[in-house]
Amino acid sequence: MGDVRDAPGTEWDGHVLLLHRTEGERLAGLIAWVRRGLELGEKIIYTELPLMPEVALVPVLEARGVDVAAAVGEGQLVVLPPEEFYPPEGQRVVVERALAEGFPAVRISAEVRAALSVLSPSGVHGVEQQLDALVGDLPMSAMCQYSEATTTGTWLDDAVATHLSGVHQSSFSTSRDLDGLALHGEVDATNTDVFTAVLSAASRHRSQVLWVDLGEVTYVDAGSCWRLDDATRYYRSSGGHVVLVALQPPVELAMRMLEVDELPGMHLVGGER
Amino acid sequence: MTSITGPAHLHAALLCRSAEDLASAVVPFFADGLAAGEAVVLACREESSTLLAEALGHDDRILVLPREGIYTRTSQVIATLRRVVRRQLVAGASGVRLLGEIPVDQAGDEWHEWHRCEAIFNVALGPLPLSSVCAYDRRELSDAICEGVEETHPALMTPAGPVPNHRYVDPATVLRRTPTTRAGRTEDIPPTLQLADLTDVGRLPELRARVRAALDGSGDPGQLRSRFAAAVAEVLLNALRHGRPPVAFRLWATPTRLECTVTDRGDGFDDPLAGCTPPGDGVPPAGAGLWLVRQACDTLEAFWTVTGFAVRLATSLPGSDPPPTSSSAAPADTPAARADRARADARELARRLRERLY
Repeated sequence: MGDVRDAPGTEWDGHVLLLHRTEGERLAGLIAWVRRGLELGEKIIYTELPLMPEVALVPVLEARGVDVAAAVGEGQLVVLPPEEFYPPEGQRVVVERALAEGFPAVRISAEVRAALSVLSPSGVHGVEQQLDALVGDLPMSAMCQYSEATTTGTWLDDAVATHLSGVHQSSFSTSRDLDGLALHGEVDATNTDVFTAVLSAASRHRSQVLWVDLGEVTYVDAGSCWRLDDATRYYRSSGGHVVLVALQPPVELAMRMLEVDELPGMHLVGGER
Repeated sequence: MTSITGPAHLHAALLCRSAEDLASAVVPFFADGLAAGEAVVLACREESSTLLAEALGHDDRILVLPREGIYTRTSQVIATLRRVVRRQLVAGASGVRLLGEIPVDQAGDEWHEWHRCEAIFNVALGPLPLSSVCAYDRRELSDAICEGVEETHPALMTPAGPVPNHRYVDPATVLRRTPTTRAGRTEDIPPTLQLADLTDVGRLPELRARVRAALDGSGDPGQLRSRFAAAVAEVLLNALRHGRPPVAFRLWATPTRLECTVTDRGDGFDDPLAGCTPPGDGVPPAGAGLWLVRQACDTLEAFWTVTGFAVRLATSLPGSDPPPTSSSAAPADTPAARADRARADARELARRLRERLY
């Protein structure tokens, strides 16, 4: 109840941030995202660096058993050079042109390396903000692929902030919840920076009560529990309340041992009788 | 003797021989605290609580706690008192004065545990505005235990107030020479789970799953097993992150005891107080993992072996609880039902918070 991510595959809809540690992780996410678009009959627009044929989308999909010949032939799946994928007038025209072809929806994706081949870092951030607004306005999805190793500090904060309910990391993800934000998976030292970036960004978007559903979080390590304080301190000290909802017993246990429930403005609601 | 008036945190021992001794030593101290706006917390025998509450005029700032629920194990004492103090401060008290009557079991392992607890108390609660008096009935104690009490308290309580204790020994020294409870060691039986050559921190989710499966397979997945699993995960993380690979892990899960060792090839650490103090600030927060570990299992030992540095965790399990009778059995509470109830409760909480904010 409450999570709009109930149907399988919906985690690849909307504005998605794919944080990958390895090429294998990236391709697994990309293939799932393409399959979702093919199933829904959407137009899929992709861009990639022309000098990297070994990771070119179409051969990679075919090598992994995804038959895209028909989709390519019918124009459902297209690969554009970065200059056309990021036109000066903005990506709205790319999406609207595809919708005008009669597709019910459009999904677009790129690796951040491809974006940086034609845009500055601040330009990439600007495109991400425009995309976030476009995904709300038009029948479309967008998936932005970032390498975890190079996505740190403010670069990570910015990336997470523009994909708040669509973060995908190998063992942790987020989704929109009817009451707020839902987290999924396990949080430990390997993704605690992503976890805290999500909470920091989420608290910047909420004026009074930040709802975080943890019903599908099976583990949070001690360091991440402790960083909940830092991530939300400014928000709570400004009068905001963080409500951590439906914690599984091991998660609630760890948070109580780390005294998260004692923080001012922090509320743990685990559902114990 | 010099009177102590200085630091906010006071940890004083009171060795008394009668209820009258106890009252005469602590009533003026607690009355002064109440007059200064502090709260008084009593975690002692019922008759002592009654006597002291009456002597203090049944002030409504006196909180009486059941000592049987607090003095169970070191982590429980520390966790409970940290919460109690903070809540009294939130309620408006300027500080807390605590009287604890420690139930002493003079059996070796039991006393060693309390001896260590008293030493750890000095660092784990040190930052809080807490003045605590630990009362012991001198008539019930051996001389050796009295010495242990004296070396773990920086002050002694007298009818004239707290005075410095020159027999006090710093907590790290006490911990180094006080044996950790080691009864019922399991290492001479084959391990329930053994993992070797671990090098990749990215495998942690898989390792946690294997540990949980091994623990759940050894009996009902109760809270003690869940706590132990959390402790194991933190020690594995520390070894993979801060130690030198390869890391080896062995787990023994019997009906009465959980024990594991995590060994790496690094230099380890030589701090008997590691995990006894709250984590520091910083990224990552130093000490958060061991702070959890200390609470989540009975004992943590760190030592060097011929191949490297090892951490051993252990938790004793109580005997199996009898199955509930049909008349007392509660209906099963599924995770989904618990989550739905939590969401309903949270919506109500969020509604009230929003109303309060407007």
